[in-house]
Amino acid sequence: MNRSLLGAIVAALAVTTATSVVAQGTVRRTAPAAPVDRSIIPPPTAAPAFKVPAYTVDTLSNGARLVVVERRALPIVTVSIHFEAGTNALGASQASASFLSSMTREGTTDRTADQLANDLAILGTNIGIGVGTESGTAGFSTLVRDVPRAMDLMMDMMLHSTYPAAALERLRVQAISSYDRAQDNVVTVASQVGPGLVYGDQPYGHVVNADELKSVSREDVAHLAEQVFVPGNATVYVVGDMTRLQARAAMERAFKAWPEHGAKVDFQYPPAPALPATTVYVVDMPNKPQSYLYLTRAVAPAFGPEMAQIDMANYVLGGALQSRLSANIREAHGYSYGFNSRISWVKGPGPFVAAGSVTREKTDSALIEAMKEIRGMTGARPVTPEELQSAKNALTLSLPVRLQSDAGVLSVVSRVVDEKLPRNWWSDYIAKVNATTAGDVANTASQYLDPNHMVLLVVGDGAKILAPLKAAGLGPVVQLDKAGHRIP
Amino acid sequence: MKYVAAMLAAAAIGVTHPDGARGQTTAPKSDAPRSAPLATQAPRIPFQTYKLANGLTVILSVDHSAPVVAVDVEHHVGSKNEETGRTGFAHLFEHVMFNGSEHAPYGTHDRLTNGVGGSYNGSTNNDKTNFFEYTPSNNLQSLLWLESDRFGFLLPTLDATKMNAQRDVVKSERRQSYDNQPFGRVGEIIDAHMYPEGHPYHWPVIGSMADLSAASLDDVKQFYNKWYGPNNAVLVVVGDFDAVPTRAWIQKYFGSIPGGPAVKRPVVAAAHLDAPQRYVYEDNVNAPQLYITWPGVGMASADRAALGVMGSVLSGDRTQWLQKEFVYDRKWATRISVRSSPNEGAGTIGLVVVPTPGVDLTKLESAIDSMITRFKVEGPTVEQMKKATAGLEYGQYAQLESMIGKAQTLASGWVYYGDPGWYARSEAQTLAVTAADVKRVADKYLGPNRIVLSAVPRGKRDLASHASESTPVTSPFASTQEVGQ
Repeated sequence: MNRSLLGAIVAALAVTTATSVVAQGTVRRTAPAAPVDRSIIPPPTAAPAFKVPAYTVDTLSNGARLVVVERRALPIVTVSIHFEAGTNALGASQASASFLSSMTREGTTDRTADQLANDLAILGTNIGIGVGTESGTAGFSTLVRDVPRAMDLMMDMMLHSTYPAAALERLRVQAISSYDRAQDNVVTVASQVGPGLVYGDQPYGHVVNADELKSVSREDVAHLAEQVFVPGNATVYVVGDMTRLQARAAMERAFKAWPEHGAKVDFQYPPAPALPATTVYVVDMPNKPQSYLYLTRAVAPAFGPEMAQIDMANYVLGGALQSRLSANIREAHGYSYGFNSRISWVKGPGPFVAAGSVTREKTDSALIEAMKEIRGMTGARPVTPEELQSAKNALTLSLPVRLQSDAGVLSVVSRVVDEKLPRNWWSDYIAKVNATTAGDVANTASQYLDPNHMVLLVVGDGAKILAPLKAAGLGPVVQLDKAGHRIP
Repeated sequence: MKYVAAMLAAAAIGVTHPDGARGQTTAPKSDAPRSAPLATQAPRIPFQTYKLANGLTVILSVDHSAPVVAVDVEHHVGSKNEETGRTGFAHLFEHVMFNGSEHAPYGTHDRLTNGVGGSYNGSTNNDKTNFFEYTPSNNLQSLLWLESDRFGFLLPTLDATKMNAQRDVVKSERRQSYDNQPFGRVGEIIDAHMYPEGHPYHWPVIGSMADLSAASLDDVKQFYNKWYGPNNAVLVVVGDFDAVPTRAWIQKYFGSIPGGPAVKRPVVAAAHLDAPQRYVYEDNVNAPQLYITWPGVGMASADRAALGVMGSVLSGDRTQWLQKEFVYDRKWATRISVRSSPNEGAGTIGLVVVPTPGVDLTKLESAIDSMITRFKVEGPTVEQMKKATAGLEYGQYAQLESMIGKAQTLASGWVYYGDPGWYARSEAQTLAVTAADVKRVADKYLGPNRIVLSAVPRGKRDLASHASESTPVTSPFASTQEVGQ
């Protein structure tokens, strides 16, 4: 039991006994004694300062970096190993990566699949191991006393999985079946077709398909694990109830059979291809009562000098529940349950996506309104001082809120360490956000959210939506099949 | 209202919902048992509770570990308090609550929460409705002002335009989360057959398209006056604040709101079937799924904890009964799960199985039945029981990491059980479940009177389990225009 909790309980008891409690059911409508002036919004007091939590960086004897953030309030620990290599940098297939996570649960040289499943179930926490397009991770959160047991299991899965062919065949049937099922979903189809329209053959244009799921071999999966899970490419984060020395000792012990090897992979993303003039792409999915709109284009690599201003523009346009896109398409018109936008901040020039499901009969109207809002951001409808201030606050004052949990602390610290950013990166970012003017937002939107060079993908009931979309005059209308190929 | 995260996740990976959508947003805290430490070591959330003169219950929990405050207002009203012909009101009402009140016009909410670095949302289920936000802790006074304004001053600025806009948003939500979602209508079809017409759980939280179209401004106002009084609500504040000024602010902003009429709760009959029922439902899907649903229990049932553990022992991980047999050994299914879903007054136990392509549903159903029969005879082993509750102790600590998580835990306990600290009793009950308890509830609840529903691709009724004995069904809640599409 932690100390502060115990103190708080004592305080709570004291207060409770002093409270008069009105019995339930005896309440009548009573006029207030004195009227309360509700016309004035109570002003906030000084905002809590944001400080990146203190962390230490050491090099372990196998060459991996160790980053420790001590948080002693609760007897729990999060361990997360980040590997700076993903399928894009390695030129590996995303299908191999899609099986890797499950395949590390299919048995090791020391444990049969059933023994491993049993040990994981009794540990009572999830150990997640996976490889994505940009990086790999392995980690868990658990009670501090269970860290050795969890590390033992995780290292066994990471380094000694046998990747049995029979298990792959079982998982393949499942993967292809769920892939096929997902083809009924307008959202899935849009997210499969959209990236290729922006990036063509570049890595970010590629989304895993059924053919790749069919052709992956167990050797592909095992090879990917070997390439990614090397200490020379690893940063080990330990956040929670351990000191730097305790964490170091625990990791050295767990890494005994993981000697120094491997190195970082150099990879440079190409600049995104230039987009043609704004074009409407339509994928027909008959009878769908809603269409999915997916408006996208490439933006910029993460952590660059323009990141703060792009975040500002996106927030005002579609980053929050009541941002411009939602205020218009959802609240003012009721065309949609939700319409928002986001930037995927990745190592290369990741995408901006504004998206939402809209009523079939209002597909053209919703697209017209969405484009009106994007165009508005470029100068037609200048950002108001309130919008500007709200966006600044949302982007900067939200940072202390992230420090409630180990996971939030990890996300703040790892951004700086993973990307080898300067230690003052966060304070720089905050300063840049706060210096942004309405003019900066308009310029940024014109450059990065350029409505004249955007992919407007619409997935829905072609028989009902094609003619109105052609009449909307938003750009040439091109029909595609579900694989993204043009239909002549 | 919980749509931003969902939309972004969906856009990123493309989600499907093999279970079919059920209820709305925050389902009651999962009964899936976590795991098993000594109860004496379990951490507790400290809190103080008191009541204002107007009947509003207030719960305060101070935690200075991060500069964050969370505010959660929960009303003990959900779709079960609606009437036939007026379904979907509780949820429609929740939407209206975000669109401005007398002193806080539309947009104020965003500005005082997201706009100061926080976040907000709301949810409605069969039994309760909540509204919550969390921000850096320097904004607590304005949050209390904001919440109190819609709590007491919603009606003065509520007009037909505002309501009509939200009606359209909710219809869009219905299309997105139910009608346009593969298997999205399955949950409401099963409930419509499990609970007879007029039973408060007969209709879905989202309501029917026809009723949403028929909602009048007066209906909504009456609903508010009847159910949204302070005496039917709880205000929870958790985080980095001082109790003394906070109590004064709460008195100022909430204490001045008049009390509401006494609340009369509907009588909720237990789920019950007189005979087995078998249905086939054609959906816009390209492969079938099988749903077996038994009458279960409500939250207050003494069997609730044992049924929660039963779900884990039957399908919690790959070593447990049904998963091992059907996904890993026979490979007849790509997914199988059994889960007890208690609402406040009654509940169901649902089995969902996603067959491996080409596997016959009739054969699958019969093999599942054989396993369940065996389970009723053998019951779980000690090790299976241990696995079913592993992780509970870690979970007890992890839940202390989130201010809003703690606020919702305390509020739910008050709404459902009249005890903010109920989560601790729930954990103790889960830990006390024995193998014999699980065997007993399996025998008691997994009986022959159940609903077997095959959801099949359009035009493929022959794929159903026992196709010739299955009655075709559609959703009674979609609009006629949109049914069958």
